This record gives sequence, C-alpha cells and structure tokens, in this order.
Amino acid sequence: MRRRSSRRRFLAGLSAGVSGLIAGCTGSQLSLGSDSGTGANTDSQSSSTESFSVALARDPTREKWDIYGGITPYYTHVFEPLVDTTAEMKTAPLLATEWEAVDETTWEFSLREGVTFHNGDSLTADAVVSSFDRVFEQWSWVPGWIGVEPDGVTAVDDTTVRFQTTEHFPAFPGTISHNYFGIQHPDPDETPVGTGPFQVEHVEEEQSITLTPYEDYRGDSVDPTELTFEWVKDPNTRVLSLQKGSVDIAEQIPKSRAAALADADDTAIETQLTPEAGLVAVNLYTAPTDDEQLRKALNWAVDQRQIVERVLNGTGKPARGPISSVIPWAVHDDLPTYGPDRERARELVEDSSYSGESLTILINSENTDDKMVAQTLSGWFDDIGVASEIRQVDPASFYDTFTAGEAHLTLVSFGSNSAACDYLVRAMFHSEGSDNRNRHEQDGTGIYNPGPEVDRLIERGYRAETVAEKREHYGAVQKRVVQTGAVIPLYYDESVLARRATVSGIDGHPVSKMTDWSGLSRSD
Amino acid sequence: MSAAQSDPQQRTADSRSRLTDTIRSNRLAQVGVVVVLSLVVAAVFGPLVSPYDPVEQNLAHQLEPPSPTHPLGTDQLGRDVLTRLLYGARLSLGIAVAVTGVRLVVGTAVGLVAGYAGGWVDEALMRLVDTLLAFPGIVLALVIAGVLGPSLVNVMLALAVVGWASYARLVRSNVLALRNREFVTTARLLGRSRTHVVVRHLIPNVVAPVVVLATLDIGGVILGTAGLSFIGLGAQPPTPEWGTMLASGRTYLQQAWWLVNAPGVCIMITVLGFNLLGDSLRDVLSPTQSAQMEQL
Repeated sequence: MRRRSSRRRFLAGLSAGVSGLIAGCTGSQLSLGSDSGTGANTDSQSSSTESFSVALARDPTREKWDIYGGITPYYTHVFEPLVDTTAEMKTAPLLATEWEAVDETTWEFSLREGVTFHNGDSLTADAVVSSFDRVFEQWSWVPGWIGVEPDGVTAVDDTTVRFQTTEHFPAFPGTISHNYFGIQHPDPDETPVGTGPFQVEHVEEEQSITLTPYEDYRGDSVDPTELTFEWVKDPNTRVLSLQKGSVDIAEQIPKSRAAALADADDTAIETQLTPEAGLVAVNLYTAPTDDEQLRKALNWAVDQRQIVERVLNGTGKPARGPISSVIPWAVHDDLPTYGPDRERARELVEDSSYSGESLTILINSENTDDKMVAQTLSGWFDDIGVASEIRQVDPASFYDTFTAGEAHLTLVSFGSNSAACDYLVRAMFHSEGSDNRNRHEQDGTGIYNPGPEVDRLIERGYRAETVAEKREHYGAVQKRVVQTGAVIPLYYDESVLARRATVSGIDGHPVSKMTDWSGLSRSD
Repeated sequence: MSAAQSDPQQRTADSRSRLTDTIRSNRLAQVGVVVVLSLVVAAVFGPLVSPYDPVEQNLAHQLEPPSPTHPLGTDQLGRDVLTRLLYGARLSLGIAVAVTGVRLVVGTAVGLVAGYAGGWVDEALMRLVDTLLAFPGIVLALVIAGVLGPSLVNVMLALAVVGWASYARLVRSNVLALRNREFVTTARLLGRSRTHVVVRHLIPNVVAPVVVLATLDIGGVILGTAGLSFIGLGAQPPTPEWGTMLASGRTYLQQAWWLVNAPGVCIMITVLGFNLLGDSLRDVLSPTQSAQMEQL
C-alpha cells in the first residue's frame, strides 16, 4: 500500500533532493535536441571516418558515475531519459511517446516501441523500473527530489510505466527529463549500456571515455565514427589544448578567453544563452543588509550592462531578475529596473542605517569570472560609500559557508539541468529551500527568503498546471525579490564552447550538457 | 679562542670592513645590494608618487598595453599595473620581513635553549624540529593556510610556523660548539647567570650565521607568499599582491603579456636580489657556515 506523505515531508524531501542535486552538479545536463520525438539526428549526413575529442572540465568517469557504469550521463548521449528537454526548455517525447496524469498523484508513461539497448535487448517497462530503482538505491535524496516514494515506480505492462508521486506534482515529467534518469540496461554486468546514439567503446578511469556510434540506433546515424571525452580540469589548459590541436572542442571556457579564441584563425567559439542566472544573494537577516534601503542602494550602484560587456567580455545578457530569460516562466521584461544611478544610491545609503561596516562578498575561489565580478562590485560599492571585502572560499565549503549565513553578499549562479526549472525558485527563495533551510530551521530566518508570502506564492507556482499560471505565481516572486533587494541580479549566463575552426556541426542547447554531437564534421 | 674572537664589537668592525671589500670586489654582490635597495626605495616611495589608486577600477581602460600613461599597462579592470606592483612590493617586503623576523626570533630562542640546556630539553626540542623539517615546508604551509582559511595573515602564520626549525637547528649547532669554549666556561666560573652567558656571550656569536640565513630566507618567504596567494590562499582580491596578480593575469596570457610578466619578473628579480645579497653576507660574515647552511 502506498503511503501518502505530508506536505511538509514532501517539501523536505524535495529540498533535500534539490540540495543534493545542486551539490552534485553545478552545470547542466544532456539530451538529444530532438523536436520530432524520435531522438534522432534530423540532419544527419552520410557517415565519415572522423573522430573528435572534447575536453570536459569535470572527470567523466569519476566515482560518482558508478551507477552509470562509470561514465557520466551528461554530454555522452549513451543513455536517454523518457522525456526530452527542448531548446525552449519544454518537455518533448524521447523514450516515452506520451504521458498522462491518471490522477493527482499518478503518472503513466507509454514507452516508444522498437527501442533497443546497445546489446540488442529491447526496452521494456521493467528495464525502466530497474533503472530508476538503481538511481534511488544509490542516491537516497533522489526520490525526494522528483517527489516519488522509493517503491513508487512500477510496470503496468511491457510498455507502460507508472509513477506514484507523493503529492500533486505537475512538473514531474520535466523533472525526469534530467539525464540522471537516462535509462540503463537492467543487468548490472552489462553497464554501461543504454539506448542512445553513442555506445561506450573504452573507458580510461579519471581520464577519458571513447564512444562509437550505435549502428542499430532507431533514428538517423551519427556522423562521428569516434567521439572521445577527455578530462582537462584547468580552464587555461583546456584552452591551450584546443589551440594546440590536442582536442577539437573545449567546454567551459573562461569568458575572458572567449574573444581571443573567436578572433583567432584556427579556433572559433559557440555561445548559447543558458537557464543559469548569476546574481548576488543578499543576506536579509544580518545587519546591515537587513536594511532594505541599503539593499536598494547596492542595486542602484550596479551596472549589469558593464558587467556583461566589460567583465564577462560580452558573453551573457544583463539580468533584471534572478531567473534566466530562457526559462518559460521568467518575467524578465516585466521586472523593475534599478540604475545604475550612483547619486541616488549614495542618497539611499545616507538614508539607511548603514554606519561604515565592511560587507563581506563571498565567492567561490574556483570561479575565475566571479573574482572579476566581485572586484567590480566592490569598486562600485566603494563609490557609493559602502565598504566591502571579498572572501574567497574553496568549492568544497562554499555552499556551506553561504547557507550558514556567514556573508552579507554571495555571488551565486543557478541554472536548471532539466525542463522543470521550478526547483530553482524554491531552492533560492522558499524558507525551506536548500539555500535557506539551515538558517530557517535553526532560528527561523534564512538567507534571501523574503518570508511566508513568497513561500505561499512558490507553493502555488509549484502546483500550477500551465506556464501561464506558473508565470503568474513565480513572476510575483521574482518581482518581490527584486523590489525588496533580496538579490542583485547580474547576468543571464551564456555558455562558451570553443572549437577548432575546421570543426562544425555542434548543435548547441541551453543546457550545455545536452549539446548534440551527432552532426560533427570536419572540413579541410 | 682569543679575546678578539669573543669580542662582538671587534668582530662587527671586521665584518663591516670585509663586507665593504666584498661588495666592492664582487659584481654579484653589487647586483644584490642594488636590487634590494631599489626594491626598498620603490616600496617605500613608489606608492607616494604614483598618480593611480591600486584598487580603483576603470573599465574604460581595460587591458591597455604599456604606454607613457601606464608604463606597465593596465589590468583586466583597468587598474595601473605599475602602481599595483609598487604597492605589491610594499606588501611582499613587509610580509617577508615580518615572517622572517618571527622565524628568526622563534628559531633562535629554541636553538639557544636546546643547545645550552642540553639533556631532555634538547632532545624534546630537536625532535620537534626534526618533525617539522621532515615535512615539505610549502605543503605544510598549504595545509595550515587551508585550514585557517584564505587571508594574508594566515599565510604569514603558516609560513612562520614551517620556517623557524632551520634557525633552531643552526643556532643549536653553534651553541653546542660555543658552550664549552673558554670564554663561556670562564663566564660561568665567574658566577654569571645563564641569562648573562646567553645574552652576552652566545647570542653575539650566533648572530652572523642567523642573519645570513635570514637574508637567504627572505627570498623563499616572498616566493612562498606569492605561491600561496597564487592558489587563492593568501591575499584576497583586489589586494595588489604579486602572487595574486600573477594568478589573475594568467587568464590573459595571450592577450596581455604584461599582466603575468610584470609580477613574475618582479618576484624573480627580488628573490634573486636577496639570494645574491645573502650569498655575499655569508661569504663575509660566516664563511665557515656555508656548508652547514647548505645542508639545512
């Protein structure tokens, strides 16, 4: 018998899931950019004998990916989820052709027929259940994240899978479009075996993954005969590897290097607006940033256009709010704008309770661009008479330092890795969201959660069935946090992918880890 | 030992004379002196004459190449690189002197106590010294600075903690050689207190090698500070510290060569200058200690 969880339990599980998700992945995910629902490469050409190499910032074989047979589900297109995320950040059929909410807490997904795993076995509902169970067993926070009980995934028949959610959860299909839910073959000895257009040829632990096309893929064949993902951790080394020709493509290029790579004869860059927004989270519950006048003053001091043009070298889009304009329910155009108007900012500072304290600006020491942005902000704040100091924290302790409320201002960037972006607004602004939960549970405060009214709006948005409804509720949240200065919006992120000039056919995606490589080709 | 050998004033006069002779006759010594003096002058007076603020950004003048207005160009936030280098020199020298001073004082004290007291005190202190010397200094400093958190003060603390052991070992070995010499024995027989013996007879005789070691050490401290700042554990932006400048400039290596080369060359020349000066001092003040210090 299924247990019906309380709302609080649902939220706690969801928050824990989101927390784990954010801790586990700071970027995006993968999927085929299929708009036909077949998952096939629609403009594929005749096969060639080309092999390509891609330099990744993170180890594609790291221990975390053991449940996927030791390879990352991002980028590689070895595994496919039931649901696809489109370039418009909406859901589309992939391994499931359709789905419906049977009742408020039950979803049924119909599987595509004729799908085979790389070992030739057919895709069945049991395989899907097994694949979800494997993820649930490995990561206990996942059921909370997607709102199902650990035993809530069952096979109705060979081609139908049922998901029992703990609460009414309209965003469920989009949530499982995340590549964590790429379907694997049920036999653990067979891993990594998926249904995607690429199959695993060779894995060099902590170094690289080599893939080849899956010849019996149901869709069009892919062009590269071999695709290798190499781990090149240091961003500058990735750039040098590309320039030297050691790799054909390099991801997560520092914005500061983008212009030089674009200008060079033998390299080029591809940019893509992502669902990620960079912003300053303002601590609402510590002096002096608990003063709304001061928060507004800081907002009036910031010039988002300068940040994008001068600091980020033209990549990105000046932000008005905390949610990237790529996300369907973002209300960028409807949000109020501040300055920059430093004169007005100075007046607000004088009217505020600020008395010369130095504000701490917390940044992740690994993020080169954040160091630049933080220094720029510090200079502007200094210009309006507000002292600040930058505190760099290593990536391992950055999030804990932030959620412990140790800084007045924290540079954060959040984006979604799936078509369901609801968790972003919850994580950031709900009192029980992962960013605020620690402080909220300890002393009833938080970090940048404005309070019960916003909590209610988020909960309504979470249960909204349509984008219009979500826009209404989440839009109100975005306006509220901007008006009260709970955030200082900075930019909507653009991913930068660099390639050799002779390489073409990269099909970009807002979620950069969903970039489609199946059309890669090389010219002389 | 002759009276002259135990007379600190006489030894100092002799050393000064030999130092002058060495500098006059040794080209490398001259280079060392000139570099160090130039650096001190630049650090003290440079910021006073520079028209720019080292942290004030000017985004309209990002990454400008060297020009008469900005002799070493501007950085990614439009700040004058030369100005930042001059302020950085003040910071680097200040840190180097402070850290080396702490190392010297602590190490000398421990070495004196261990060497003069002997017995279990000597054993205990020397095992501690052995333990510290067994660790690669920069790795230990990395751990300490990492645990304490990124800041210049913590880096100074970390570098001071890992560096005093060499001084202790050097001082102890000198004290062991000195404590049974006639002038020390005579002082004891005359009823002088331990403090008197240490202060009046031992310390003056270990000053020379310690000063030489300190001079050579300064370069290492500058390198250590720059290294830890380079990886983000030291100075926090926008503080104009050479290691931090080097780290932030490497992203622009191909666009703006001056961003990396300027602090890099400064670090190199400074360390070289101090090493040359230290070598010269060693030749003059403590020629017999050279091999001993090299072993350290």
